[in-house]
Amino acid sequence: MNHRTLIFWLFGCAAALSASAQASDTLRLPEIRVTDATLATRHMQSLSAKPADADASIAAVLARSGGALRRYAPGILETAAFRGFTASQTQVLWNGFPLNHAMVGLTDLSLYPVFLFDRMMVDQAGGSSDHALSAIGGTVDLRSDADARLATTASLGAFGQQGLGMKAGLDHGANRIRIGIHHQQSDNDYRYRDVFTVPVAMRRRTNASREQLSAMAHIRRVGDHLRQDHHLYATQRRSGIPGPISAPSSKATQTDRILRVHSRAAFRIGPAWGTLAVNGTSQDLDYLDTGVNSLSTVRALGVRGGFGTRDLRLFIERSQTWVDFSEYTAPDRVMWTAQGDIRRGRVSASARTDHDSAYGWFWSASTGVRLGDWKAHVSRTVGIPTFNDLYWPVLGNPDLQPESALKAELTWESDIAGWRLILPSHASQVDDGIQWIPGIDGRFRPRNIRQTRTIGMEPQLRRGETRLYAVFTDARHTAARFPGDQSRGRQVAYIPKWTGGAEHTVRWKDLYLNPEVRYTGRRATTDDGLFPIDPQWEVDMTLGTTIQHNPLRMDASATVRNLTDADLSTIRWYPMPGRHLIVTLQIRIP
Amino acid sequence: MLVLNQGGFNKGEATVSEIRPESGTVIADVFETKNGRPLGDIAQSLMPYGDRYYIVVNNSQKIEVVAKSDYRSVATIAIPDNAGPRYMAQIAGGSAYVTALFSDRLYKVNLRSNTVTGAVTIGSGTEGIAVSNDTAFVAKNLNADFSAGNQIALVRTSTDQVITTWTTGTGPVQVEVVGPYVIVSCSGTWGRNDGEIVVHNRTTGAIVRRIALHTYASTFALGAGTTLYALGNGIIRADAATGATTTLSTKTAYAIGFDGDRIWIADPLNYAQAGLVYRLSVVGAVQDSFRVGIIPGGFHFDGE
Repeated sequence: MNHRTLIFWLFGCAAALSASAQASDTLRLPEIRVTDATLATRHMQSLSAKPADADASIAAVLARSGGALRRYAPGILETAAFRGFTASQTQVLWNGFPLNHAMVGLTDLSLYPVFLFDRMMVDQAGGSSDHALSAIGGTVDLRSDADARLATTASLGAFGQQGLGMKAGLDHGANRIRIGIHHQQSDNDYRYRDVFTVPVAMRRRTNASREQLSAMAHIRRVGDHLRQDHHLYATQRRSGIPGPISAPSSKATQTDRILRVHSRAAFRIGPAWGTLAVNGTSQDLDYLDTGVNSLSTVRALGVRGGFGTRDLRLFIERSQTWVDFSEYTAPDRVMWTAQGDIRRGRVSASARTDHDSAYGWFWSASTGVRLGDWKAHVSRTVGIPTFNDLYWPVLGNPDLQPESALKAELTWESDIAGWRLILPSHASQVDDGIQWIPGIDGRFRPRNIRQTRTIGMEPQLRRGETRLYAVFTDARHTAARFPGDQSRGRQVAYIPKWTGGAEHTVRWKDLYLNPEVRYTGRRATTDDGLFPIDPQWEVDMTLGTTIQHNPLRMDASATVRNLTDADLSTIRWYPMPGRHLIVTLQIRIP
Repeated sequence: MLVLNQGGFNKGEATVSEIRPESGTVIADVFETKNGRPLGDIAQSLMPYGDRYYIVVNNSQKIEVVAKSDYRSVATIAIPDNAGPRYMAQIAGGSAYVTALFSDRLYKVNLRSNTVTGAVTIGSGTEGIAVSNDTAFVAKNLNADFSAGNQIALVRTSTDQVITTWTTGTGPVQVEVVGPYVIVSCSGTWGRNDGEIVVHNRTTGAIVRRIALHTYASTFALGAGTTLYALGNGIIRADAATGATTTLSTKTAYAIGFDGDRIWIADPLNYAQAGLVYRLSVVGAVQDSFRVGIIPGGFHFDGE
């Protein structure tokens, strides 16, 4: 632990102790649950972190969603996708605003530490008109709006994992200020089996270290007729890029810098309300390797004005994105959006139209109904090409069209013998999907040639702190993309047909034991079914204690991840750590 | 015959397929099947030597040495400096040179001890190599600033020293010595489709003729005499002595070989799934095809 992190931790502990004298006596139960929202006409998962997750990235929590997670190393380039869609078709939101990188189209989840986000909503059925453009494969919405007055976390673990964080909140009348800061680092020099050597040797991963400092702030002012929310999130991370074990990279590094601000004001107009929101983004990505110095900067600014009643919402938005990249210069992207949502009784409907400076108009819509234990939702959703798709020198394709999808979901939820049974089923079809595919010169270029069709079911059983879930995803290519394409009719690469898991918490006095098992089925790494990754069982075991001394709550836990020391990977030749330990201490004043 | 399948970059998908054309069978991934471990990242080239094959695995920075009889691993030669080894050529004294795209050096390997024993400073990244008598002709493909090179370095194998350089086309890739000629395929400049085959006088280095291929990047196989089968804007038969060309087929391909009787071409499809190799008659008619590994990029025929 270096000086900076030690001082940071001591400061957090001191603040916790001093605040304990004036805190209320209301205590929250441990946040060790994965629940499902019963809102709207779609199945939505609300994922809360366990204390042991606090110093990990949000990918650690999303691993329990049953989605397709891809991780290059712990905390280095982690993405998630659901129901046969890709990570770039999955929009990550922050308090409702899109986070996906304008150039590459996806969000690196490892840039967002669990500790600074109180919960996340996974909405796999939602689309463009429910959330944001390019949310073809659904959304992950990160929320930072919980009400803890003070929380600190510290963790130490194998291969140099360290995490320290502090959040503090101050309420004064109708005003609230919350700030949070989090630091994490890891050497990531864990051991793996190098199958490329003779005989097979155990080696240590190199050039996978990372260090990240993140901060957030939230100011809320609530008056009789006006409510204001101002959010800020900033992070800086430097990480090695280790490469696959078949061709390790010894020098490649990446530095990410993100600053996001988001302000929203809501004001009453008689029985209705109006909103005005401003959203700003600055994101730099600097990649260095031998002979490569690739720097990109993305700046974006959006302004949204809206009007609504209890049953109706309308808004209009203008956003502009500037990209400056060492490899190309792109024109600004200006987007106008108009959307209307209506909810009457059990029926809801949304319609949206967007005008992009490169494509002109396109539209999306959705509707849903809720009848008793049943929910049904259908949508047409669209996504636009990224800057890289359009403007990458020589390879970019300015003729690309937006990709679109039709999606349907039917969910049945009920209580049976004390268990909550949730049974979502879904179907979708993607047309004009964008895929980078080589031409006759072997160079990859993006084209609108990906056609896929997916059906699936995601049964879940919950009771208290016990949860069992299974995810079946049949996602197939439905059209040949080029002469000789062998993928037609086959499962999409990296999408397992089956995933699942179970977790349970046993409590005895102040102690708890939380075993968790996750299963990921066999999946091919190429679209024609070659080089499959074998099924994997991942077992985590947490032993912890929760001590309450009003108003203080302390949670200390030791988690053994990958208890069975299985060979785990989500991407071929990018091994994840074997069995390892992480110890976490959290102090919290609600 | 063998097909080298490069596999995707950084994906560790390199394999070797054995094709038995007489029975129409393909034995996939003979290396991993025999040795229980994957070959590595980007199988670039293969050099036979005695009872062994030397397989250059470009992005794994190594050369796998296997027995010809059963592909059993004999040794692994690590190439230093993340040099990106590309091609090998045997020289006298039981050694070989190894070209390297991301190094300014040509590595020398002892084929008996299977170790790197030295290097020759070339000054730029190198690709193809051909050896005749005591001279190695080395394609200087990539300059230090990552621009395309346009020279051939001549290395005296007995002293491991560069004796001179010749100017050739832009982006020299493959070098072969045929009779009085040194034949060099050059990729040209991206976007200009100006790849070409440049024929040099073997003694003086003077450019005798240029054969335009009307595409970017190219490779060729040697036929009888001074006949070449090249990948240009289709499959082209060319005569290095006269410069005469005939387009045999408009089929595009990634690699080409000639087994003494028929032409073989490799179609990597979309470079992300198992590719195809086709066997063609010498007039370009497709006779049959075989599914191999990902990105088939090289052929080796028995007797070579």
